[in-house]
Amino acid sequence: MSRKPWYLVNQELFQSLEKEIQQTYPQLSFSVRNNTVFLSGNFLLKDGDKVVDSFLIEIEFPFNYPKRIPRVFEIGGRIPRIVDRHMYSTGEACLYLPLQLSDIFPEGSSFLDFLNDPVRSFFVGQSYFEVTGEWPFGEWPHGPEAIIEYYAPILGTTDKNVISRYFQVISKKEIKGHWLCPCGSEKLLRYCHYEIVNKLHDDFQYAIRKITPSRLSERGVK
Amino acid sequence: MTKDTDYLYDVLNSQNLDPDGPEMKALQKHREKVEAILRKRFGSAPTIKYGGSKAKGTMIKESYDLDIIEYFPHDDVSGGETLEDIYNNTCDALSVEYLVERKGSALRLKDKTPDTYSQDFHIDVVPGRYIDGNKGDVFLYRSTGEKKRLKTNIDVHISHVKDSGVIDANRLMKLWRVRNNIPIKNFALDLLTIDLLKNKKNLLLTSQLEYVWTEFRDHSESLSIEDPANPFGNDLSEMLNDSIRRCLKDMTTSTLSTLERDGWEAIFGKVEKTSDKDKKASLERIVATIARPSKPYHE
Repeated sequence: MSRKPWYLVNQELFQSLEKEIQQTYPQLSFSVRNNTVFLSGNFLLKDGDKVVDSFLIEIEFPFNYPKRIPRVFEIGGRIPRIVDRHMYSTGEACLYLPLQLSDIFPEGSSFLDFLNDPVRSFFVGQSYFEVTGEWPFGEWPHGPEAIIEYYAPILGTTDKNVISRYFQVISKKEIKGHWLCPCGSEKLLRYCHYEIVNKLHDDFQYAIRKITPSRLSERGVK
Repeated sequence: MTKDTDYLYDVLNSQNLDPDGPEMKALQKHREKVEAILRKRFGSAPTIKYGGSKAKGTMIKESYDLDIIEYFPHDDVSGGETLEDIYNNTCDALSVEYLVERKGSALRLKDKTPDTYSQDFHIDVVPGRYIDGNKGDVFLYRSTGEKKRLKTNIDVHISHVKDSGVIDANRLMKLWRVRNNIPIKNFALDLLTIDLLKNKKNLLLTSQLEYVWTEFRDHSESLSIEDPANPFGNDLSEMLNDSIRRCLKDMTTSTLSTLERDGWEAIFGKVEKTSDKDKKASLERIVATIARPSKPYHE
């Protein structure tokens, strides 16, 4: 028997989303094409009642939403499809560093949180960049450098080799306390940096669960 | 962005219908009223939803129509036995509250109160019937022309426009059509624009428009359109007859000359431009409201 898409399995969720969007983002509308739910239209950036800017977007919901996170596309062709504007050639927006997902979209967050935080951050950032040439929240470096930059303040080191060792442990399916701590102390992990490594491991697993597997390699997690 | 592209986005911004503004509120109110009328008459059988530019994301303030589609299941007769019955019964139901003008396949709603009689509400109701249980393709009644029914698919139309990646160009072409009173249907203009720009998505918006206009001027005789929902079944040639081709050629010749001589503002007019300083300040206020900001990334 073929699996059913989420909007048929969880019709109540779909209906409540439609209602929420109608109330909060009425210029966006849902459509279902080939068993896939899309939310499209003008994503307005509003300062009070004033529309400061708008982007034409389309959000594609995964087959098993809400287990996984939707993907966001700019469909007006306004943002150049280049790395420096954080866009894939397909028009998909690179909203966030996957490693950071648990910070910006923690467990239990709603779809409206997704629109209000990472999606709005991205498009406000694009508009701000057009005016000033700067990103209001900064930007992650491209590729593996982002992993170094993300972990450096958390792990208290900028040593790429050390961070790389941590990452090898964090990205394992599970971690064991009897392993040597990646900090280089030669102590067992359970007697050294277990707490932080465990937390980062959980965050990494969260990203794995939430982001469509095919996207992980594209986004630098694997 | 270049200054000209920047200007075109200001034009587009000036054409956004504020969702909290009076126009959208009025449309929303009518949408609810129309649905209530149709539900009262036909029950829960028909699928009632937005079609047209609202669903496609191509609405502009200067000429905004709302299409409401009303499609009955293929095996349901609550709307009538035949397509013509569905069309007529829907017209009758709406006539209680509206002055209804019969168009090709749609019913145009106008005011029937004495003081504002015949005032256009910019709303078309399009009745039809799904051809099978998949709820994709539909048959619409045609009140004019030789063929009495038309096979189409609103979802395919919506996808065709939305997935084109050139909606901003579509909206500006629509504004250009309205401003110059060009007798081409929006649907035909959308199809032409999308087809001509299918490999030009990486052009700036200014270049996209110039390209489309140049094609209209230089190759008006060879332009063609086909219905993406029924490419071999629906003959759209009348939407692009000789008179319309001539008009497109004349108007684009004039537009391109104006553009070369006087620039973009001579085509789309002055728009109130937000200064960069004001825009930056507004964006910073928005930035401050984001609970969990995130930085963009790329592998």
